[in-house]
Amino acid sequence: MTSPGLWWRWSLRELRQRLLLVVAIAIMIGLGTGLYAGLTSSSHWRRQSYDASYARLNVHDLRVAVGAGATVAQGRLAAVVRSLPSAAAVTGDVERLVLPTEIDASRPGHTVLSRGELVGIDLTARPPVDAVSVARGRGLVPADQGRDVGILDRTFALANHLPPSGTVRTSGGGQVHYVGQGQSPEYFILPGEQPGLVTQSGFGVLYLSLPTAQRLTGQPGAVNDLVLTLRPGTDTGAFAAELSRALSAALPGTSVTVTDRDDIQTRRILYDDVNSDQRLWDVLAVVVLIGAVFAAFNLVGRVVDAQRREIGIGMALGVPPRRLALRPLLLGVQVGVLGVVAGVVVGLVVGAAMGALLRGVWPLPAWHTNFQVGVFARAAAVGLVLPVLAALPPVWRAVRVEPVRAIRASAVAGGSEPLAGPLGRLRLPGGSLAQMPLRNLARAPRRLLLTAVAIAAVITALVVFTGELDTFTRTTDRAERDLTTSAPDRLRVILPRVEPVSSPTVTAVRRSPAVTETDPTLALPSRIFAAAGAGSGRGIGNGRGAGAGNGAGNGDGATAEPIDVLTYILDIGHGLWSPSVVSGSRTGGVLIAEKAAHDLGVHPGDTITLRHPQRVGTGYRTVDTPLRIAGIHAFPVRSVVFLDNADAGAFRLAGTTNVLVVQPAPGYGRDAATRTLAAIPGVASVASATASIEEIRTLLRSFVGILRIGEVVVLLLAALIAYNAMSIAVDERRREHATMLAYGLSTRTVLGLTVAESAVMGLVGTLLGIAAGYWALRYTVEVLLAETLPDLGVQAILSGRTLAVIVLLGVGAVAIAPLAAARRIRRMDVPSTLRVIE
Amino acid sequence: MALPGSPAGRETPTAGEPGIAGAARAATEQPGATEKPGAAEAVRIDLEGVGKRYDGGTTGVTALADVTLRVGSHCLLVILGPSGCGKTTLLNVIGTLDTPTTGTVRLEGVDVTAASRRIRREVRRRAVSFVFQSFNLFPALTARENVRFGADVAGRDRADEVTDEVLVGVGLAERATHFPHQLSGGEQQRVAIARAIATGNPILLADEPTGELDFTTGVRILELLRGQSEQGRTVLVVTHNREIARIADRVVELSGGRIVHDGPPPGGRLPAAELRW
Repeated sequence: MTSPGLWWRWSLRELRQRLLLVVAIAIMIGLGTGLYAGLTSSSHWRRQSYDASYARLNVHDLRVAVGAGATVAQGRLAAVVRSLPSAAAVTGDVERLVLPTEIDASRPGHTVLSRGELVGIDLTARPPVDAVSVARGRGLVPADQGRDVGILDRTFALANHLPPSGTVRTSGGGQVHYVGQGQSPEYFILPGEQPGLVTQSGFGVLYLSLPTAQRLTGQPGAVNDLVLTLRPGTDTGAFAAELSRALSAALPGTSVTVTDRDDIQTRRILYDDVNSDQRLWDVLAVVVLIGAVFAAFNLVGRVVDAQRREIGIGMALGVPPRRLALRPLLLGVQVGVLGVVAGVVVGLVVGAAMGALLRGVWPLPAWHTNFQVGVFARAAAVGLVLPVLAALPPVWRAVRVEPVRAIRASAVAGGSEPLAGPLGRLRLPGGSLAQMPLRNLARAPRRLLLTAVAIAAVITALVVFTGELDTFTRTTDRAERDLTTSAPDRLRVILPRVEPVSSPTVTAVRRSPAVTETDPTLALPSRIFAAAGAGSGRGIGNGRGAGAGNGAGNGDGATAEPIDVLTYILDIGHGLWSPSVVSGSRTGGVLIAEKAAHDLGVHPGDTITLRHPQRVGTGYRTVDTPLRIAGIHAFPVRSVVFLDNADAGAFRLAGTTNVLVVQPAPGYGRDAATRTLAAIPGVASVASATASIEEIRTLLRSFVGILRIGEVVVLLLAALIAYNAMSIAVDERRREHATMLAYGLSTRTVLGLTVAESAVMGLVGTLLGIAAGYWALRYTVEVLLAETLPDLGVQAILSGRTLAVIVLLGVGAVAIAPLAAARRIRRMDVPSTLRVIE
Repeated sequence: MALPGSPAGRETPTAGEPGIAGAARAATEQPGATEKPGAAEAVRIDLEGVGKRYDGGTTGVTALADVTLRVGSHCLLVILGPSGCGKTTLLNVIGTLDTPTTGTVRLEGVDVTAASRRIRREVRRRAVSFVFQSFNLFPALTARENVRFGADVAGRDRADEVTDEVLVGVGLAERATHFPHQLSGGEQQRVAIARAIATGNPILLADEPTGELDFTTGVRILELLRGQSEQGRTVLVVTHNREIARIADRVVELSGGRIVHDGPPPGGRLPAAELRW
């Protein structure tokens, strides 16, 4: 009986001989497991970084907000808090003044004009609540109270490439020197104009001392916001209820809401996205891993198949099958061990790329991108086990075959496959040479299937990655097309509150030389839900006031979950711009997005309930109004609802406006008109017609970045599969090639036959991959993305161009791979090869 | 006459001789019969002082030394000798799979000694065909398709008819649709010979064609090769088996890369059926 040492040495010698192939297969495994580890690590990083960032800045437990553009005297809100019986539970409270503004951070040659907010903070309050972290420059100190200095939001500054310090102008002509760039918890991601969307460059936050903000906004001694923290263990809900009651009693007639940490919309988006994003990344990583596994399965199997004759000889010599199985299984172990090493390297590289991407998309105060031992251990276990599993079936087949069959030279040809006979007898056109590629494939259908599936798995991943990019591009293109159907240069002048169309601000805008036409409209936060499910979701009045709720639909098919929307009331068909519809009509009811209709399970002609503000005297109340769905608009954002003025009687807001759509005058460029209009007292901000496009693009930015990383990994994988398949195929066919050369065929012809065979295999794999990929694309877009991005209506799209590139890549890469073996075939020692008796 | 498709001046054909292409073309007219008896004077293989040395660092191996050999048509020549005597090297040099270190090789009057790869390839397509010890059939092709491959490579007209006729000739018409793994060793070797015959090439080179076969099957193979030489082909058989040499028209014995005997088989030629080993 031979010693284990012999088998080990034998195996090591074989490893040296085929090191390149083993390394190549190992890298494939590494790409699959590494991508999985890299992507999965990111969710851990995100969670721990969010926790650390919120903790570092002492995020509030409760927030008190005075609504409808009202303010109260400084100290009033704090006094109410301190008067509570439970006031001892409060560990910190800070009064603020938070108001919308236009941020003009333009420099010569670089225009930056965005809507935004001024956040005035009491710098003397200790401890600070919702503190501002400073990434560049310096922070605000008590000595800055009242001075025109501030901190500019870090995300906004990065996205607009602003210097560490500089000057910005605010609405009403204010000018502030920002001395640093920083962030506070509510603005870790910046809210888009549309509910559910986010932005990076389109919303600027300027942190100031409270007196500075009061002076710049003309609200001396006023605040409209208070944030507080509570002692650990305090019943936040009970405290909030107690505080709400006290505020109602202390500030009668003033709309005040109390919200908790979970109501911070941006915070909710961050944490919710981790789970839904991870599901998507898991699917993508698993698709790539499956591709790598199938490829490794196929290649390891083929290498082991090549050892069948030696196994047969061993059996003939009486070596136990268990011992015979050891050597081919060691190949699996070698691939596995190297695969683990490659997986760790790839995982670290992908992780580094992911870390850079995450820091760019969400520049949080704290990012912890440490090595995730558990994740990598799981990936390593998969990488180690899979190649061994891949080696098992061919080993099993090999040790069960009769030795006499195994040692027959022609047995290696694989004529024993069940389908080989019928397929081999198919009548094919052309001579023997023309038939040979197809005959070769038909002779080993199992190998064809395994290789084609390996190619298909990679193509599937490629279709998913590129298809999602296509889908995103088409979605933003669609949105842009819809917004620019008419008056593409128009601007939206946003007012801080609803005003009569005859108000001084509106009049000033109308009379501004920067505009030629003005179209008064309304944009009002509302909520829609299917009429049958009215009241089933969390309403606006959720027990803690009348703040915007969080009833975003879950996107999981039709649902009665209410959807937060912004209802635009305009003169449809007569204004500067009107929405286009994809079904139904434009008037006679409400226009909702296709995604909203899908999520609510409604169609044009159905009735939905719109929960909206209704003017009562000088104040507002929230009412539910059933409205017929006139049609489905083309804008792909679920939170956009349009209503014709004629159908908006329930709002009782006739003759009022809070968004003026204006056409800039000739000679006024977009920037000049924006600057002119933003300088008008009473104007909150000015936005372009296509500002939402940037918000959609921002929402998709992290996905696009990760998809690009995945695309690179998949392309590498495809190249490796093609190379490995070629390498093994050329090795398997060396005697046939030698025979052809001996019969006078040229190397070119021999290569041509191999290329043709590979091309057919590539075509089969690519077609399978495209079919599976399109299915997977639809699943990831219509199921997973619908959960990840519930407000965006995306439809799976695979463009013709992408399809052509994938076919070219799938067929081409596999087909031309044998060309890499041209030298090997040209330099083949034909006599020696022909004399080898397998 | 220049080889078809070869660049002018790359080879040195002897004026007045039929040339490789011409011989090959003549062979296509009659499947299985290349020339009529009586044309035996034509020299198809002409080796002059051929030597082959393999350099292996400080030590070199002389596989062939000063081999001079002329072979005509209608000849079954057996190259005999022990392992390592250079007989396969000689076959490879004649078959243009290998190039000599010294000397001259002429096939059908064409000097192929220093011919380009392309011309040597053309020679293999049009002049010489191989039969290998381990058959080297294409496993994905049926017996018929393997034979058809020979006809296709040589660019023969009526390839289908040629294929069928050759298959009948080797007695495998009934097994035409079988794959190599479904055939016995003897049948596989007959398919390999049929493939070589189907090329229509005048020179057939067989390297240990009975090496993997039992006696009875081996005799059948030898009868087949004998028949080819009788039909006009030049058949070279490499073997270490002295008994096989007894069916040859001529026996060339090698030792240490040199010809030590060249003449009819000792004791005269025997019919294949009378061989014993």
